[in-house]
Amino acid sequence: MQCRQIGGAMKFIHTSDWHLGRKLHNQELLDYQREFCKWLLATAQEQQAAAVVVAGDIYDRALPPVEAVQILDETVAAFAKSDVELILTPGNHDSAVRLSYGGKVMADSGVHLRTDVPGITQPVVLSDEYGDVGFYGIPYLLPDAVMAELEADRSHEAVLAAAAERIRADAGERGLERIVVMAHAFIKGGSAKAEESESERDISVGGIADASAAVFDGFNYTALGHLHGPQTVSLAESDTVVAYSGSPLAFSFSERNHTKSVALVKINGTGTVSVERLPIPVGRGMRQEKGNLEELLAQAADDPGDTRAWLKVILTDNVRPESPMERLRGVWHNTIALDFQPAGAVGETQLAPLGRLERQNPTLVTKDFMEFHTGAEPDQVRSELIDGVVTASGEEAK
Amino acid sequence: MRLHQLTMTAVGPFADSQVVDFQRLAESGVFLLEGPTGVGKSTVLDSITFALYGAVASDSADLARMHSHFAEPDVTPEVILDFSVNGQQHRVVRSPQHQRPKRRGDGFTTENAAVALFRVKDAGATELITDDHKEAGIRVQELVGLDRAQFSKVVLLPQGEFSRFLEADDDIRRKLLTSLFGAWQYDKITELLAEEAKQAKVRITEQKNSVGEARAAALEAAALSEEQVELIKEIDPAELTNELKSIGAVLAQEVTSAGSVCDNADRERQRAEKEATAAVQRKERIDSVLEFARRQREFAATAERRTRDQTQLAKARRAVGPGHTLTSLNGAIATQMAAETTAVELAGSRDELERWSANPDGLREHLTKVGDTAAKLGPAVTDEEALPAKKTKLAELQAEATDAHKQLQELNEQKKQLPELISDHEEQVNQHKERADRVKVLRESQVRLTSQLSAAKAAADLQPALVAAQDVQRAAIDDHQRARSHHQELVQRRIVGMAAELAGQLQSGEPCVVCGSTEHPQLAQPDDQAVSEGQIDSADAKAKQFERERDQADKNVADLNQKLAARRAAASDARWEAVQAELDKVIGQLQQAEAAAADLPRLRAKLAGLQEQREHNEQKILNITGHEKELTTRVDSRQQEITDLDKQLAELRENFATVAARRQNLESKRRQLDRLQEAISALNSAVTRVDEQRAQFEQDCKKAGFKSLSNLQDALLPEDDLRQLASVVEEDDVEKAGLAELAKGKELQGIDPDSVNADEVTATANAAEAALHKAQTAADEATRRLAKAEGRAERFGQAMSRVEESLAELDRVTALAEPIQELAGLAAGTRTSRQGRIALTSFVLQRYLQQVVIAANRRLTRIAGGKYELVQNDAVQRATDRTGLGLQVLDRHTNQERSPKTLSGGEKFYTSLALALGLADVVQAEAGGAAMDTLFIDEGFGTLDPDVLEDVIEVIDGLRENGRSVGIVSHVTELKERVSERIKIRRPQQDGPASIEVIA
Repeated sequence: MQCRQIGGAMKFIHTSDWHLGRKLHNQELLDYQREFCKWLLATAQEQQAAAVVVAGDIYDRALPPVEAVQILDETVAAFAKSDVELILTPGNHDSAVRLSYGGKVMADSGVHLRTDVPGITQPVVLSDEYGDVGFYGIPYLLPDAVMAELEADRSHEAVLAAAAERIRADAGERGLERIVVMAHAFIKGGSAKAEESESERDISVGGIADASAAVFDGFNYTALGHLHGPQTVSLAESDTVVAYSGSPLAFSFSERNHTKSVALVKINGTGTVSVERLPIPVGRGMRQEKGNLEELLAQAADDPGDTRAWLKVILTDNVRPESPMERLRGVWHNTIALDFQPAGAVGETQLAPLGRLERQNPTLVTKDFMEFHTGAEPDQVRSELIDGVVTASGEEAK
Repeated sequence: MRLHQLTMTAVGPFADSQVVDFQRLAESGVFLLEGPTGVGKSTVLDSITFALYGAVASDSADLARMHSHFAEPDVTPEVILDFSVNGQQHRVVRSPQHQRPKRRGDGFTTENAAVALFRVKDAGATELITDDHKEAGIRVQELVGLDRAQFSKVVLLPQGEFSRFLEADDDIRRKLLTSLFGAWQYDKITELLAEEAKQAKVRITEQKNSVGEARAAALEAAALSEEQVELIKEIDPAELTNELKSIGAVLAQEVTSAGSVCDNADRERQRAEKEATAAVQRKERIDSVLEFARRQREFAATAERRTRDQTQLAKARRAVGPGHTLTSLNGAIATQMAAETTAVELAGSRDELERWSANPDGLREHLTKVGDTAAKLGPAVTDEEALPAKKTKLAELQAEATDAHKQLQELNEQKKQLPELISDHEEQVNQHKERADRVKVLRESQVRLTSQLSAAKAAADLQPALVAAQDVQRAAIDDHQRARSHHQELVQRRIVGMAAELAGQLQSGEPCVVCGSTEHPQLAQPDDQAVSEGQIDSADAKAKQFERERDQADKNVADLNQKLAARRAAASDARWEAVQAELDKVIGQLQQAEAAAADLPRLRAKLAGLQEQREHNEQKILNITGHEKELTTRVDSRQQEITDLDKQLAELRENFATVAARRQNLESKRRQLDRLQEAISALNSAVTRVDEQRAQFEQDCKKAGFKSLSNLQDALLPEDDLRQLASVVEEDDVEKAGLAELAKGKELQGIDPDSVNADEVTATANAAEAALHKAQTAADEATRRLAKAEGRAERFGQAMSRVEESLAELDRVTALAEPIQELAGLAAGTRTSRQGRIALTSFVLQRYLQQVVIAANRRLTRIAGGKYELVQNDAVQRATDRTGLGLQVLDRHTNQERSPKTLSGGEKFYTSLALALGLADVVQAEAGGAAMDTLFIDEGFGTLDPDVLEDVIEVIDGLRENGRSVGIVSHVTELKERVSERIKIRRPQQDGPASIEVIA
């Protein structure tokens, strides 16, 4: 519980999916991630934001590499020293328990961790000139793990709905009228399809990964994490704004064209929300080229383009060329991924069942075999032999 | 195949039964088997393999470690696995060989491994399929579609061995794919072709042998001489046929010549035969004539005898009839004589006989009377027989009555005596009771006296001690007094001495230290016997010492006195001898009393018995009196009965010993009379018959012409003689007729018997016969020779044709073998063609392997940036090395192929995993294949770096879509965070048993 006065309406920055420690095709991203964290604090201070909320997937793994931990350590320390509150919730990549380390101590310094179910109903309350705004953090809920505690069914939708109910109840008790909820989930809205990238981890439970945005109805703003592309999820006939901030960096080549950003969110006295996307400076670009090897090499000779950007090449040669990676790296040093889509192939080879061998005609197959070796169809003598042997082999089975 | 539930009892680290329910885990696609190192994760996988196959997953593991050390010794280790194949649920229960405690006695005995395979019907009912190890193994393999080795390459990838399939030899890969895709028939075809090839080879060899044999047979048939044979052997087989032909020609020639010799011999024989026949004929004729003459002579000589015989014969024939009649007559006379004798005997005398014969009616009457009398005696005889028994019975009854009377007397006697006995006993009992009562008191006295006695004895013991102590005391007093006076003396002397000292020091006019006077009139003089302080002190000390000793002695004496007094008191001042005497008395009395007490029960019992007896006595007397009366009555009545009977029998007996004897006598008389009656009638009839016969005889004699009996008897001949005579006469007649016939014959005409030289004729005949014999022999010989030659030629001809046949057959078989061998070699992959050495099954499987590779690559290209791809190595440098099922790994970045063996541990792991999943995909897609719905991966994740691990986990996650589930054994932390469903194995105490928890 925290009360802090700022002038004007409540302003905060929403970000998520930092995935500290993640590699891109074996390339280290730590430096860029560190840069981002620094930029984030600077921007928050510049914008006079009251808080920065990070909605999950702080780390890329449950047991992150040492350097990633260092980055978070530096970042938390920097935020602690500053005026900006920092609120963190774990995502499906994090180990919630590990992330929660030091939480109780940090709270006094303005860094708030909400990593478990009880924490759901312990809002961070910040005030602007119009009153209090409650910031509630829902950690990533794995249905199996929390369904008992939340008394809900075994689905993402059910547990989120239960959490949301508790928040509403708690807000009611505290008399909070403006509510911001952080959550880490796959939320689908009324019309627009939520867009996944290649880099999100599948969180399906029983085949169902998603929940509908309706569970957040009634909150002013829902800060979501999990999807790496910035997007808003529409909720029909409601003022509730449900949005993904997206990841600060592109983690796969499918995201190369995303404009990575953080969301600057304003809530005025009446609870109206406005969202502005602040683009994140790109540390290093990503490109993709497609074509056959010779063409591409020629192209590179002519106009290499941004050679510093990470490059993925899709080769369309029908016949695999020799040492493609080497040759590509010769002209584009930062080629880090290679894929093949031979032009001649018609889609992916379907695995049509060949059918049990037993159902094929063994005589024909054997004759084919002989032809394969001798280059000619078997003559009379050989045919008879094959017939005889095949029949005998068939009878012995019975 | 889908797993449902695994129950492990007393195996690995699990002391009791642990259950893993796979159904709960099936939904999420991935589950983790987790727990600290060594806790038993691999045991779960081993148990699955063990349940199915009776052996554990990795070759290195030892079955002995199955039986848990933590289990109670009497718990049977056992694994139960529920699984279903194609919708049909099964259960297999297996128990390894283990030690169990003996049921009788100490120690352990080995219990053999056991297995049971069931089919599970709806509602959980099980139906046993088999409990035989071998059969179970076969059935399980059929159901699962894989044997253990294959299972551990495809379904359960064991620790450290996951890459077996990837790195396997062609042979192993072929076997696995064969069993997965049902290519067994091609294996069979290959086998059969190999068999055919072998057979073909064998046939060629055999046929060559046949040719050789046929040749040898032909040579043998030709019966060539040794040199010829040798010559033949030299000859080239190609020329063989020709030579054999020429041999045939030679043989034919021989046949021809033998034939002509034979003809000649035959002609000669015929001629000789003719001659011999003629000579013999002539000889026979001469012989006949001579014979005839002889017979005629002989016959004439017998004329007289013949006449005689004929006469006799006629007479004897006439006598036959009367002879018979005479015999009959003699018989009748004999019968009559016999009958008469019998009758006389029966009648008694001749007179009696005559009398009875004259009066047959009287005889009959007498007979009847006797019979009746005998019959009337019948009942009396019966009574007589029964009499002895009755008398015996009477005697018995009388004895009984006497007995009863005696008993009664006894009882009365007893009655008189009892009261006295009883009162005696009562008194005895009372006496004993009195004595017994005193036991308690006596015991108390005994105790008291005993203690008194010991006190008295103790007091007595103490006496001498006291005396001694008093002596010591006295001595001590003396010593003390002496010492004390010595001390006093010394003090006195010291004072004196001191006084002398002081005196010595005194100056006149100076005050005396002692008395203060200034005048010192009597100065003490020093004594030579000066006494020092020390001496005094020591004397003092000594005196004190003695004082102490004296005190001690006093004390001792006082103590002893006290003790003595006490003991005396306890002994009541009595002397121990007296006490002893009293004690003995009391003891004696006590024993008596105790004996009385011991005896008392017995006496009481006896008294009770007597009283009882008295009661019974009365009753008995009553009973027996009654009984006696009854008996007496019966005795009397019987007695009467017997007397009456005796009288009756005496009457009937008359003068016989018994009535029975009389009756017998009458009976025999009757029989005799009966017989007499018969004999008389027999006699009468015999007489009649004699008369008849006599008349007949006389008549017959007259008819036959015999005047008297003696004439007749002369003429009679015994039957045999008659017959013989008849035949002699007949023979004579025959001879006569024969001679007459011969005389008419033609043969004898023209030869004068007397002028013939029989010998010459005989000689001629013999010579001719001998010549014939010789010719016959020659002809036979010639025929034989001919047959032999013909035979040889024919056999040779046959053998020749056989040789030709077998040569033809050899050509045929050889021609046929070539293609067979080609086919067999290609199918087995032992013959190289320009396509390489691809065996039939491999060829067929190649296309499946291709599918597998495609499916595997789908996943493989999603791991580690798609660096690697699997390819079939059909592009190997030397085509001749291609075996059809090779796998290589293609590095996409360099486009170079490498052997899977060159991959790193982590790379091998995920490549193998992709391959295993690809294999499972393809198998599933082939409808009816052994679908492997559950997969297990035992470790290996630790070899992956975090990014690759991420990729692999994504791949495994994706399996959920196909309804497959993968069980992972791993301790990698990341996996623990990511996979929520798990089989948790925990060991609460170190070195203790483990337990399983399923979280789903």
